[in-house]
Amino acid sequence: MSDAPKWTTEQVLALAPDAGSAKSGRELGSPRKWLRLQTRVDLIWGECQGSAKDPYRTIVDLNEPAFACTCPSRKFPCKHALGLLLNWVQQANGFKAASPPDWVTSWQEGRTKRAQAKAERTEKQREAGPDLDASAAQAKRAAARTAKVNDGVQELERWLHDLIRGGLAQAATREHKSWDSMAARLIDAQAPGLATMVAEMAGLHATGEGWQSHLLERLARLHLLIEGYKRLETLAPETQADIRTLIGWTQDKEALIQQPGLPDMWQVLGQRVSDDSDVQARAPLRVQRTWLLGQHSQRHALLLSFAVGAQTFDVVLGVGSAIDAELVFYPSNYPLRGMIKTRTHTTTLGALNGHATLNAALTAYGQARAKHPWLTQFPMLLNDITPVQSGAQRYLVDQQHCMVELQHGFAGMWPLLAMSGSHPVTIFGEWDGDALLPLTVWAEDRMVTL
Amino acid sequence: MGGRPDGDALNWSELTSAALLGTDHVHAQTSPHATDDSPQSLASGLAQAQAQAITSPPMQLLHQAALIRGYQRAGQVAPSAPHLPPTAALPENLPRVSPRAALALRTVLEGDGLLRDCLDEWLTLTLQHQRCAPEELIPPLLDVGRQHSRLRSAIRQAIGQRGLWLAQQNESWAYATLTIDAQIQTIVQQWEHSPSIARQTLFAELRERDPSQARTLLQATWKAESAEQRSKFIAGMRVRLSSDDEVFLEAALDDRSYSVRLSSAQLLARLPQSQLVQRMIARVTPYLQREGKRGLRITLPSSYDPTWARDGIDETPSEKRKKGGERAYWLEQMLRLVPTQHWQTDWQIDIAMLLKQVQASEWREMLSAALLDAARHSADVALIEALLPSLGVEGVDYDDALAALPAARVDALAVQILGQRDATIEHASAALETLKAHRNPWSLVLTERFLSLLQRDVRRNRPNHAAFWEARSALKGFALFMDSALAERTTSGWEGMPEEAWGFWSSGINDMSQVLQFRRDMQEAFAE
Repeated sequence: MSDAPKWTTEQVLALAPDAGSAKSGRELGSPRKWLRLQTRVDLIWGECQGSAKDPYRTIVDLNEPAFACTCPSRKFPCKHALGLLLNWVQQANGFKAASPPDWVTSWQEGRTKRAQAKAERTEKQREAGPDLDASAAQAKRAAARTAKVNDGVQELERWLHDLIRGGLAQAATREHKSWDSMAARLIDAQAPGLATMVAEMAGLHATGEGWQSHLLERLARLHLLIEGYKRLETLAPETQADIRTLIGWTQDKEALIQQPGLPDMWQVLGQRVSDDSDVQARAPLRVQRTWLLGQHSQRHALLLSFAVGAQTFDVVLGVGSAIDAELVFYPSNYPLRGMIKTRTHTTTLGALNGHATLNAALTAYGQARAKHPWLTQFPMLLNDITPVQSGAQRYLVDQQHCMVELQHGFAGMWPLLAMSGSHPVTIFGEWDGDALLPLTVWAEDRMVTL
Repeated sequence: MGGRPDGDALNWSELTSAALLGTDHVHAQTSPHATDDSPQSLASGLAQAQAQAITSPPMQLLHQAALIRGYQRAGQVAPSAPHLPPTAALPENLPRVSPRAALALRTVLEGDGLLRDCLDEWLTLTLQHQRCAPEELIPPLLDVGRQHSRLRSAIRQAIGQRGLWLAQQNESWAYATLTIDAQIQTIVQQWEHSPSIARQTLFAELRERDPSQARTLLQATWKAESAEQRSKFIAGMRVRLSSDDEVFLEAALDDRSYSVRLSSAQLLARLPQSQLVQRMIARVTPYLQREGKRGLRITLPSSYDPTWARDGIDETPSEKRKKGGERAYWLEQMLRLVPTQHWQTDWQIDIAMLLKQVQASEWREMLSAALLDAARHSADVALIEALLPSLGVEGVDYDDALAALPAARVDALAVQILGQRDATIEHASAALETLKAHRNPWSLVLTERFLSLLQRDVRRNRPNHAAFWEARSALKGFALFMDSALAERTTSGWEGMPEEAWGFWSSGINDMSQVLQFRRDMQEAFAE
């Protein structure tokens, strides 16, 4: 058990897919709920009596971690897995050392077999070469889409120029419908990214002071995108990738995962779930954004996970942990979005090396913007920063006595102030160009997600 | 956005104005140009935009907007903060609770009603173990204190220096920011400007801290209060009552309102050395005569003396009481206001003899009630207990009597009741509710006996009647005070219950079990 990572209760609960699971997991965190608690090397397992006749069997491999449970819940990790892990964290000596029973060893073997089979399949595919028939059909579809997008972009350009001719004041008096119909047209043209950009501008005129500036900035951004698209082939591949992603093309994940990744100890700094209504599907779509920072490379990475309705997210990562993993990045002039290629074990965060001053952070932002002019959310890890609330103003102050504002939507000001007590702390958040959204705060030896 | 001066800001605002109006309405010449401040790159970019094959005014405007804004964004600088951050919080004197205890608090605060009530105990444990709350949970704790003034003192202590610092930044948490003296000062300041109803709360708070100052403040506004308010204030003086209050209360005996006079008399009756008590003893003595060595002869007053009214003795009984007769009513009122120790010490009558006489008397009901009331006022535990069996178990008198007993006695009483043959849990409900109302933990014995009886009652599967409904919903409240060492007992022993009975009881028992197990885990979290 030499390398068994040291977990904290908060980390375990951070893995819960929703608040209800966290609560149920906590309840099962008492040894009295378990008929059996055993361990061997990096495996823990137990049996828990539920409402069914036979007790549920739960296994956790502490390395990744990986979970398995016989309960019928679709949530992942289920409350039993969370409870088992909580027991381990709080009272490891309640687990008896034992030889794993059959149902544990067969699970282990199954996993190893599956991993092997996957590796073999990938090898075979690589050896066999591309499937020519499939490629031909694909190329035809791609060409059709490109044609549609071209039409859509042309129409968008006309629409945009008309708007500027008539003026923003006039545009503000337009009904929502006129924005929506342009957005709908873009969806038909298979350019959902552009559709979202248009839809998001619709209500800006009602946001109060300075709306004109915000709207013009977004329109200019859209214009830049259109101009870029018109010259697409003349641009560098990374710029092409950025433009295509923004318009709404998705990256081929299978191809991407074959690329060499960047191995590092990736620190999970912050996480946020937002309810984005999928403009296309009109279903409630939740997006989980997880921010990582490579300890050695000092590269930031963003993992995106999607879940529709009551689904749980497929990637299980708790803020405050660090994973030993290989990450591949989506191509871009400022690569941020990534995907986990391989992953071994999880451990706790090491030292957090953030920006020492706000201007250092803003310089980094400026450099990123210079490379990727359409960048919206920028990760910022700030050391020695003090949160301040003064009347209606909320901001962060650094050691040089410089400040940045906090986003209007930030709801965790009181816990943040409580954690700081006007002493400098470390904060991780998302910068949108004007204000910061804090996600996590570290003070002394403690971490709190906001 | 700050930092960068004028040149480009001007350019941007010119552009925005132009965009606002629309290029159809704005002359092309007002489009922006590079200023002397702008660096080469921006200047050349703007010039290019002018000269290039930009085919239309909108395109030109958008081009310039994209360039200038992009330039500004890339060169963004953080402005200076307007003020210094506030003074930092002082370091804590006490260490933080363990992570497990912190988790318990989170569960309590996030929980629905069931576990929420465990907050009391969490705070008590925190103070007992000399710890303080985790910082991020200070804001929800402060919010709880806004609604629940009873918990404020405990919350103030649990949140420590960080909590004090935080509370100073939010008006609605002002209650947590003041020292005792400062609190007193605030109350004094607020007194004059507050309406009567608010003053009741202020009075209650001040009376806890500085009883004589509370009385002084009350004196100042006394005449302006309504009879109803005056009566309430008098009742409020029960807190930290002392002989210092006698002068005020004696004066209140001249009040126009009967209820004020009665309340004042009742309070004075609690002060054995008071003038009122002396008067009352002198008054009642003629009607109780010693007979022989330990006997007692009781006679009734023949007529009503108007001077009695001042001391809270009313002339006319209510309709209900008329059957006891007016004369008995007068004697009864007198007896209520005489400390019962007087009979035992000055007259050397022991309780047993006193009770025997009372039972033998034709006015035994009236006398029992009077003695019980007097015993409550005198905190005569022995006499109250002796009188209890003669009272019906339902009834305000019984509940009041229990409320006057020390917790250990009530606990023992409940154990005794539950130990009797054919006892059911309802029989002890008054005692159990009293313990709950006073937030007294149950003894292990009581818990054990209760749970045994509960299981037995459920197993008997008698048809549901009203008492069972009450008992079932009371279970989770009782679970807050049961001895958590027996938490296991609530999860085992329920096998083979009749289905109908289990269907009725299971939700109540599950709630009880959940609370008790949580409490046990919480207590263990602090013991780590």
